[in-house]
Parts: sequence; structure tokens; C-alpha cells
Amino acid sequence: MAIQISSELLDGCVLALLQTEDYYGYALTQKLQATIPVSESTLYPVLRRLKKNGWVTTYDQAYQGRNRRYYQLTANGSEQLVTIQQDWQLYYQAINTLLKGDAPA
Amino acid sequence: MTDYLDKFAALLVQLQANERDEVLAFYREYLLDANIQTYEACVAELGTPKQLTRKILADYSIRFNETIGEHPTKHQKSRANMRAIWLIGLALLSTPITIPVALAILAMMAALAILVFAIVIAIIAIIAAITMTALAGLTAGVGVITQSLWTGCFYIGAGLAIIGGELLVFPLVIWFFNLMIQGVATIAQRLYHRFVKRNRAEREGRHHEKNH
Repeated sequence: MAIQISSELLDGCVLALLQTEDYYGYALTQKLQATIPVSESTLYPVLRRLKKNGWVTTYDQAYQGRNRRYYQLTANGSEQLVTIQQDWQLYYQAINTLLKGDAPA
Repeated sequence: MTDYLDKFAALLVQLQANERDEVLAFYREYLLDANIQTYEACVAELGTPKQLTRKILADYSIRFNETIGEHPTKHQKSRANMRAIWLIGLALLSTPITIPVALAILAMMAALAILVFAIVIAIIAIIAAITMTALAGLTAGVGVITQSLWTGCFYIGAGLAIIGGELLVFPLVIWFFNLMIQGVATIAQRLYHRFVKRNRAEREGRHHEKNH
């Protein structure tokens, strides 16, 4: 895909994935990459931002003698996801109108 | 993997310790989960330590303004200020405002830069001059000491006293430099915000962040 994803949309994608279950960093990257092309190193800044804004929280779980940090959606995060979904709908329709050449004169 | 993370850690010195630990923990966990062991495999997955660092730090510098008030050291602060001045200059050049206004702002910033530069040069020149005097005193003292013990002692003493005084004043000079850089950054920021209205997407982005 030649189109670069914006950070707001990436936020939305991660929040949407966390809606169904909690993920740790590697699994989340894999999950995202299954659908959209994002680089392996992209996710940390996204998760940091989401956590800073209070949209996700983290908890550690022991795994083979080390910790895995899981990310969990918060209530604020769910609200934010709805906002992003709405924004995206508007944006999507607007861009589609333009791309199809249907823009009002 | 360890050598990769060590290199990465060394490059992250600009971050605060707790931030750095968090970044490292994230990528350590990631590499373990991905079952990546060799240095080369790490590079193939995440890029060279330098590339990864650039990516991480870029995310921090976008927010240089928000974090500036928290707990930065003096050094970090003046570095952040320098970066602010630089970024505002670049932002002005890339902003579609009317050209006369842009030119006026640029001219003001240039004037400010020249003023600051002149003050800095003047201070450096004064310090250099005083140091020369002190050194001349010392040399003269050493030269005369065989002919007249007391005259020699006087010149050497005077030279040492001047250097001592300089060392005492030095922190003050550095403090003054920092103050000036900070002042310029603040003025530049005010100028920027005064003339450049944020575009809607940016305003809304900021709005969301503040809400939560």
C-alpha cells in the first residue's frame, strides 16, 4: 500500500484490537501486521501515547521466568475509539467523494 | 540480542531513566517473544539501534514543549530550547502565511539572533582578554622573580587572583547564556503563535489530548 497510515488511525486500530482481548507488544504487532503494513518498530510510540492519554492501562503477567506486559482498553479508550470511528466515517466519505470525482461544483 | 539492546540503551541517554527503562523493557520483551537472538536478526526486525533510536526520540521531540516544564535538567532544557528555536524557524518557512508577514518575522528573528550572537561574542572576548592579562601577569612574574623576588610574587599573585576571580564568575556566565537562549526561545514561540493560526486538524488533535 502506498498510503501511509496517520497516527490517529493507528491509535484507532490498536484500540479496536484491544476491544476484544488484551495483547502484549509482540502479539499486538503481529495482529496489526496481519491486516495493515506497519513496521515492527512502530508500535512502542503508539502504545506509549495511548497509555499517556489514559486510553489503555498495562499489567504484567509472568511468562517463562519473565514478564509480559499486557495492554488493556480503558473506559476512556472505548470512548476515544468511538470518536475515531466517527471521524473516520466522515473522512472516508469525504475522500471517497473526491476520489470518485463527485465533488460539488 | 543483548549487544543490540546495549547499543540501543547507550543511544537513549537523552531520555530520562524511567522512560529509557520502559522502552528497553518493551523491546526486550518483543525480541524474546519474536524469538530473535542474533544481532543481525534484531537489525533485520527493528532496524539498526540508531534507526530505532531515531524513531523513538522523534516521538519525544514532537512533544518537546509539553514536557519542558516537568523535570528537565538545565542541559536538557537549553537543548530543548535550541531545538524549539530551530523548529519554529523551519515551521515558519513551511507555513502558508502571507509572504510580507513571514519576511517580517524572519527579519525579527534574524535581528534577535544577531543581537544574541553579538552579546555572546562580546562576553567571550572579555573573558579572553581577562585571561590574557592574567597569563601576561604570570609570565611577567616568573620572568622578574630572579631579579626582584617581591615584584615577581606580586605579578604571579595578581595573575592567579584574576584567574580565580574568573572561575568564580564562570557559572554566572553560563547561567546568563542559558537565560538568553531561553528568552529567545520564548520570544520566538510567542511570535510564532501570534502570527500563525493553527490549522483545524492540529487544533482538534490538541483538543482531544487535553480532554483525557
